[in-house]
Amino acid sequence: MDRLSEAEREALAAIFEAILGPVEAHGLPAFRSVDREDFHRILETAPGPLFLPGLRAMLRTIELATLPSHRARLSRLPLEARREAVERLGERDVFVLRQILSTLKILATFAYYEDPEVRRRTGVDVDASAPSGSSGASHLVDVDGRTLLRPAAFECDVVVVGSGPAGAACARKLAERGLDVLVVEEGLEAEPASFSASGLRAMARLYREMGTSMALGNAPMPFLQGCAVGGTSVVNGAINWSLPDDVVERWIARDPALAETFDRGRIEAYDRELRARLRITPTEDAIAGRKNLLLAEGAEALGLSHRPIARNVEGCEGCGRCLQGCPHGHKLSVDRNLLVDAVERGARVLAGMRVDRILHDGRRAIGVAGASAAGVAFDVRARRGVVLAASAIGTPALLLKSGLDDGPVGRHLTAHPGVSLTARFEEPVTNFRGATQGHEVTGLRAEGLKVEALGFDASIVASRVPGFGGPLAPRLAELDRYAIWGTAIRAEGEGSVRLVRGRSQVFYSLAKEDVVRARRAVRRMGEMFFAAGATEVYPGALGYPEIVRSREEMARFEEEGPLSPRAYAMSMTHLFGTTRMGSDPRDAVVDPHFEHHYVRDLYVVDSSVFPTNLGVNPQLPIMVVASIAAEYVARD
Amino acid sequence: MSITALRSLRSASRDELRARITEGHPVDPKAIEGWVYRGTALGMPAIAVKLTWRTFQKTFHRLADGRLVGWNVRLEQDGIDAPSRPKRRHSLPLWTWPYEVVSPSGIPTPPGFDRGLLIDYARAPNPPQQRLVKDPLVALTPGDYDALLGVSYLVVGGRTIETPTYFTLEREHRVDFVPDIFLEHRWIG
Repeated sequence: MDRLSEAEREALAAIFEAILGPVEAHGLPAFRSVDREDFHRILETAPGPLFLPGLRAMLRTIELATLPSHRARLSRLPLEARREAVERLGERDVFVLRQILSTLKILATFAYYEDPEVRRRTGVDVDASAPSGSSGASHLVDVDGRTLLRPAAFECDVVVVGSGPAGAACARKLAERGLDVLVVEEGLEAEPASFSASGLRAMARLYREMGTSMALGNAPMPFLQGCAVGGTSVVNGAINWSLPDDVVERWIARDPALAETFDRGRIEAYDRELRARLRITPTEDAIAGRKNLLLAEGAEALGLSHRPIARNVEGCEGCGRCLQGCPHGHKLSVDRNLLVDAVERGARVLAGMRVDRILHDGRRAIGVAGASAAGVAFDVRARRGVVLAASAIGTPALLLKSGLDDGPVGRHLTAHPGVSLTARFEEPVTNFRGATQGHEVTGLRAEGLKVEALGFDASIVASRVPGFGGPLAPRLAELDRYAIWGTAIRAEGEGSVRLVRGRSQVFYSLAKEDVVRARRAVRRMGEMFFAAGATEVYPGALGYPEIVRSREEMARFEEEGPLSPRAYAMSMTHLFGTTRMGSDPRDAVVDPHFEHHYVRDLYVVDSSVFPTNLGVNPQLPIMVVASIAAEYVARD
Repeated sequence: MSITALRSLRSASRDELRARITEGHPVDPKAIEGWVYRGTALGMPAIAVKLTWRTFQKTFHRLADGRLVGWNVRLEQDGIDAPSRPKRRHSLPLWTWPYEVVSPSGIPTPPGFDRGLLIDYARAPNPPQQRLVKDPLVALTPGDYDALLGVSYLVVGGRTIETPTYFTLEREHRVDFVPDIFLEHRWIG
């Protein structure tokens, strides 16, 4: 296993200490007050294999940045000089430097907020070091891959790869129809009581590659995917929208053969059923928290339509930990309902089992093969069909790994890139409390923008407030004054998923119109912030002033803000289209009945089949479409 | 033998590996038929690994006439512990070196190489030089057929010549693809 050397750990600690600034002068504990062995162990084991080499490259670059001015590496400078040097580097409008410093800053805040005393003084949950292992209780799982020490073979009617919203919804409907269903999930079953409040530990345990996956393109963007029984529904904001009529109409206009599949009555029936099963209800003001109510105030002041977000929760206390996994089990992720229904009807769930390959003879799929978390092989023989629900990245990657590269597999990736904005209020906002994502602005959807309040762990909020070194420390001491909102952009850009040395890699570039939308999103959010009473807004745009102090100044951002895709720190959310559906095999991977155009008994039921992006949060549409797909899988 | 223990053989010397072969245990043909194993070449010089391959698959398939046959599958060299990803031609795995699996009795073997089964390339439609090769295969723990050890040797003019080409086999998945020559009964014994 690749490990950080003692010298590398020491250099990182020295740089983190400089980035955080003189925190002790502002009433917070010093950075070096606790042992961080756990932190280093997580960095060495949880992210993808490219993380440590990348971190080393960043470390070397930033170390050398002070050689010309100080004739010494950054980490070797005395503390005061180190802080000043980091502050100066942070002021430079250089893309690579910003990328490196931003990455190191979030690692620094992750490390810092592991200290229970820091969390206590910041007013956040202190159980940062809660056990990250499973409690051992298993309600759903038939086989846990950690305990599978010998090669194993399974049989079933239908094997479903992936247990997120798509896989769970499809498995539930297949089991209802009496089929012997086996769900195979790479992640482990997650017990709410064992979920840590720490952003770092939650990401290490519940996110694929600890959230370090990056899409490469004209603006490298991270993207997050859950990796647990229940998939991303375990770590998302529990937001639900119906599949919009205008989107379906566009799909059918483009390919009339999809009309039967996406029949309005059928969609509505599943939508109603799932809304009832997942208890989808609007967020109540009582648990929304200030950040959500401020978004309502800001939108109202600007005359933009807005509403509480409809979420799949029951008894939510507004602890603000949706993205770390709800510790109370109040978020109704699919492992708490749809998978339970499937298991009650005889479906089996294998957890900690990574599928590497579809077994087929070029004409018909007969099963899947892969490896357990313990590193031993398994295979599943499926008598009736193989169903892929491994996400818009995992599904095409699995097809490509299996030699099934017919049609545009992996191409036509569409998404909702997200841009976020941080603002400071004079009053406590306490971003890390209240419903994680409880309010949304719907009035900008025609412009391709959907604004939401965002709730993060304190470690992530700390990484989003501006500054390095001296200017950062006082802001960390008043972390409850900062709010973060985000906008999902209905982007025109397209990307792809390809294999690079057997591993999936996402390539995605923003179109020019998308950057224009990002700029408008920043302006709109900034104006709403000021309308809601913010005193400072931080556009976070390279080449633009770090702090904006008035609504008028914010309005100018749409004219004066940068138009380079690299100027904005964006992330990718909601991915679609990489095995899209259509009647023409040259233009689509699956037919209008979700079956692969060339390989019989092979189906794709996740957002990969969506012909375009949606402009809204896709969780509920994914479940609706996967439920429809089950009808075809069962029929065939 | 656990997979971890099998993988520890990657750092074993040739003498150790040879001893494991000569002290190995029989392999039940019924326990391996219908399965694909992942192979990892051991003890090859770095240059040979770069030029050829380190990981591959071996299959064991029972023909209708009762013979146990097989073939190698070329893998993309993504890394020694990366998931198996067969090289493909027209979406089907790229297979090479067909063989028949037999008992070693009556076949020339180096001393002690007759404790398990024998992969015999001479009983398959291979080019003449490949027909010289045979791979004894042993279990490392009695009755455990998930992890096997093999080695290649040559039979030239009735004399045996050992090679340093050892390999481990880990049970991977059931056979999903059978080359046409086996399906169409064009197999030449």
